[in-house]
Amino acid sequence: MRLLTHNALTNNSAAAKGNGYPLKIMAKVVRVDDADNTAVSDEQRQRQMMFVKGVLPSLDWGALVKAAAELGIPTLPHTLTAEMADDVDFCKALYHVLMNVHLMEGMLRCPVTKREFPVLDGIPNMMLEEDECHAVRM
Amino acid sequence: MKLKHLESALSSMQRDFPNPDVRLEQYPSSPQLAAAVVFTAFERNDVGPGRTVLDLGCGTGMLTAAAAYCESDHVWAIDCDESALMVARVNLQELELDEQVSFLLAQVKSVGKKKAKQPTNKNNKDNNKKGGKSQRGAVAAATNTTLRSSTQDVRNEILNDGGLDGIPLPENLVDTVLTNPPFGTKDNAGMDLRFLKTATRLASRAVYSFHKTSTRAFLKKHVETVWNLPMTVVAEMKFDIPKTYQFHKHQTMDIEVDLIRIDLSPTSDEDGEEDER
Repeated sequence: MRLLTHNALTNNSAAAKGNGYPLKIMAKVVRVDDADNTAVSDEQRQRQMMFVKGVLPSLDWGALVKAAAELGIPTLPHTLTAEMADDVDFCKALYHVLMNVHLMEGMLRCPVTKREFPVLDGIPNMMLEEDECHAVRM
Repeated sequence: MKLKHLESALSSMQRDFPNPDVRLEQYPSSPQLAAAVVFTAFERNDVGPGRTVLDLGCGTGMLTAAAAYCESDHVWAIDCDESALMVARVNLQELELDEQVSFLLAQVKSVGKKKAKQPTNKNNKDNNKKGGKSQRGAVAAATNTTLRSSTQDVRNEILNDGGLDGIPLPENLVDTVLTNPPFGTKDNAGMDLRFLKTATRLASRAVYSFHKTSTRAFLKKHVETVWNLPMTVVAEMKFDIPKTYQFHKHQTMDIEVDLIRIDLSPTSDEDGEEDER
C-alpha cells in the first residue's frame, strides 16, 4: 500500500458516520523502493512530475504528513505552499514519498470506531461485513 | 497506441481464476473485449495520459492492464477475491505496469437481502378484517428469517444507500471507472445496478459498464430518469462464456451484452477539454 493509496482510504461503514478518515497506520513491514532509479527515462520522469502536480490539489496534506511519519518519514513540511508545488526538487521528493514507500504488512485503524483493517502482502483488506454497511437504525 | 498491440499484450495475461466462485460470477475475461472497450475510452479521452481510472471488480486485472497500458496516470484495481487480486498483481508485474496501479481488497455491498419484520398484533387484527388472504403472508413472514427484496425495493435500496456501498473511497476519486459487473444471476439480482451506482459515485467524468442487452430498456430509463444521468449504448457485444462451472451444460454460451457509457462531466467538452493531453 502506497501513501498515495492510503490518502484516499476511508472507513466507509455506517458506524463511522462519514468521519472514518484518516486511518491511523500501525506499520510492521515497510519497503522503500530506490528513488533514483536509472531505468526511468526522461519522458517518464516528466510524466511523473505532471502526475504529482495533477494529484496535489486532491491530496489531504495533513493526512499525508501524518501517514508518512507513521511509515518512518517525518520530514514532510507541515504546510504546503505554492512555491513548494512549483519546485522541481520538491515534486521529485514528493513523488518518491507517494509512490515508492510501501506498507507491506500492518494495520489501518479507524479514528472514530477503532475498527482495524489489515494490510497483508502490500494490499489493504477493506472488506466490510454486511451489517457494517447498513445505516444504524434506532 | 494500436488496438492490435493492446490486444496482444492482454492476451499474454493469466485469465483463469484460481478458485472460481459462481456467486461472484467469475469467468475468464476476453482480451479482445477489454482492448476494444479501453480503445474506445481512449479515443474519447476518458483514459490515457492525464487521466485516472478505477477498475471495479477487476478480477484477474484485464481492464486494469488495458487502462495502464494506454498510459493512464494511475489505475485503481478493486476486487473482493484475494486470490484473483494476487493473479492480477502478477499479471501487471509481468507487463511492467504495476507501478501505475493501486490494489485494494474491498467488496461492493450485496443487494436484496433483508430480515423479515415480525407481524405485530395490530397487523393480525387487520388481516382478520380483510378476510384471511393476507394471513398467509403473515405466516410466511413469521417463519422466514431472510426475505428476498422485491425488485422495486432493490432499486430504492441502491438509490438511497447514501454512499454506504462497501467501497472505502471518496466520491469523484478518479476520472473514469471501468467495470464488468456481475449480472446478478446467482441470487443477487440487481447487483449490476449496484455496481453501476457505485461506479458513478467514484468517477467524475465517465463510467463504462457491461449489462445484458435484455435489460437495456429498463436500464436507460432508470439511469436517465431516476439517477438523472445521460447514458449511451456504445457497442453491442457478445460475451462468450466458456464452461467454467459444474452446472454448465454447454461448452460455451453466448450472451448479448451492451457496453454502456454514463457521462458524469458537468459541462460539455466543447471548450477544448477533449484536446487536453
